[in-house]
Amino acid sequence: MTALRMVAASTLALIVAASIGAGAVCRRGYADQDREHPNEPPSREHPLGTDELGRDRFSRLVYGGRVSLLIAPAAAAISTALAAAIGAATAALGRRWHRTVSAAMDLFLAMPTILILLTARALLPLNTSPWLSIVITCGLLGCLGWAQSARVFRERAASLLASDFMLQARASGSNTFRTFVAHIVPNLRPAITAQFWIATPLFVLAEANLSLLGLGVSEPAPSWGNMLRELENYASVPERPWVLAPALALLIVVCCLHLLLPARSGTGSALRGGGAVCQPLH
Amino acid sequence: MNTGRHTLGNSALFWGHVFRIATTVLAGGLLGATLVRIAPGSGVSDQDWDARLSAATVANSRERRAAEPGLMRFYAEYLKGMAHGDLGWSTSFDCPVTELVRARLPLSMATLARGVGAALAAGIAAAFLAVWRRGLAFLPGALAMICLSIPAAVLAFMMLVQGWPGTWALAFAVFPHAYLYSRNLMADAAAAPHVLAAHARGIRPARVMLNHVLRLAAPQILAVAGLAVAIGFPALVPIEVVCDSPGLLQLAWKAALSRDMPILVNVTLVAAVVVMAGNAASDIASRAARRVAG
Repeated sequence: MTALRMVAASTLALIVAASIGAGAVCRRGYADQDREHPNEPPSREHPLGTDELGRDRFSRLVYGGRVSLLIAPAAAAISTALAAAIGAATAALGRRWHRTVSAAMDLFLAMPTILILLTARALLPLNTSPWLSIVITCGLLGCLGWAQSARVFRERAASLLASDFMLQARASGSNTFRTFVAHIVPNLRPAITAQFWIATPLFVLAEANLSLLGLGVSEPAPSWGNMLRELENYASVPERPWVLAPALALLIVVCCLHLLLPARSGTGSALRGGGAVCQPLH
Repeated sequence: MNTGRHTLGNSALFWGHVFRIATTVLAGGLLGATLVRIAPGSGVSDQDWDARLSAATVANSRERRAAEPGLMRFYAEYLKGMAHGDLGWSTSFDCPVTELVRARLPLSMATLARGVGAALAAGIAAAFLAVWRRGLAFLPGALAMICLSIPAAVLAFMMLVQGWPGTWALAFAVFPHAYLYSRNLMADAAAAPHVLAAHARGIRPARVMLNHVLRLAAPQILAVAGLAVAIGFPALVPIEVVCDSPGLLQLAWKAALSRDMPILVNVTLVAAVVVMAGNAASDIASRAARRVAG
């Protein structure tokens, strides 16, 4: 592991640990309002100041990390599992299914994901409880981000099914279920892991964009995305640069995730050279 | 290498893309019609809550709506309207969707063209420098990494703080993709045997880059333009919202907040057509460039 990747891994571990142990790190709750001190600048009491409702921005940042860093891997796990299942099944189920599912994939890929997200979000209740909004955001991102990865899994599974060891397995009397469990899934595991790590930073950013647009995690639950709504008062940002703290947290986390990606599969292994680029969900 | 697809004529390639777009519009149209039909509030009229109307009138209105055409007829009517340019009626704006799309699409397309154009120019130039002078690769690499790690909406806010237009936010959002793809393509081209042979013969590096590397990578770099459109168009949603730019993607966001399904499904379809047309144009240009390069 290079020094840069070590630094990235340590930083990410520190942020994740702080988010998990938010109760111990923060002196105040994320929803506690101090109506006497709204829009306070940073102080010993409030390291990142307070928002317009007098809530401690540092506490919201740390608790928000918990939400943002929970949604992205969970959504990445859902979408990768869906993509692997659909891709592998398409490869195994024959030409007719292959064509049908490929057409569905093409349709999904042709339509910008954020617009599908907006449409799907509009079909669901907008005025939901904060925790239900987290579940909805996570579910939507997970269920709608599968198409790109499914192509990768379909090709990988098709090449595995055509390989010599699969021919031998079939000749030895292995049925379809056993073939999948014993041969396809274990051989797809490296691709599944890579796709999960590629998808995670994309979902971190997608959640931030969705919450910033008012269609993701709803108040008072904090997420880095909905905290960025404070930037709406952009004219005062030069005087209050601490409102950019969630953007900085996003930048650090996503950079660390990119640096930790395998060299030839990265979304943006920009500093190392090489690496394919995965389309963002914006 | 001359693959089977490369031997396709220009017109076959063109019509192939037209067929794909038409199929997507048809399938997307049916999907959109389904969403409009199952959307909350579909089939409910303002009359149901009009206190001035008698119970008998409301019941009569409900009966009339219940007797409206079935699902298949609804699909047929929807597709027929779409073929005639009738994209339905916006409930939140209380006007035809076609009118809204027609008024807002040009602004989005202009922003897209300027932003993607700037990103491609900067990305390709930075990639050229990074492959030519390896020592310079860190700077655009770091910029690409930073731009990749910031949500498009935050980029838009940063541009607003600087007093720059939203086009620049789009350019910064697309730049990392243009740069990384172009750099990978040029790096692969720079490792080709004939390029190494040219270096070995003592030809100046700048000349090798221009005459061999760029020429070899050019057809594929043209294809990056299509990808840039596919990345740039959706990135316009947060950018237009943050910059309060009255484009088509801001309309989609407003429609999502007011659950105006006719607008949402039609904007998604228009976006799909724009993205696919961008891909088709870059694919055709890329194939043509490959033929010219031999």
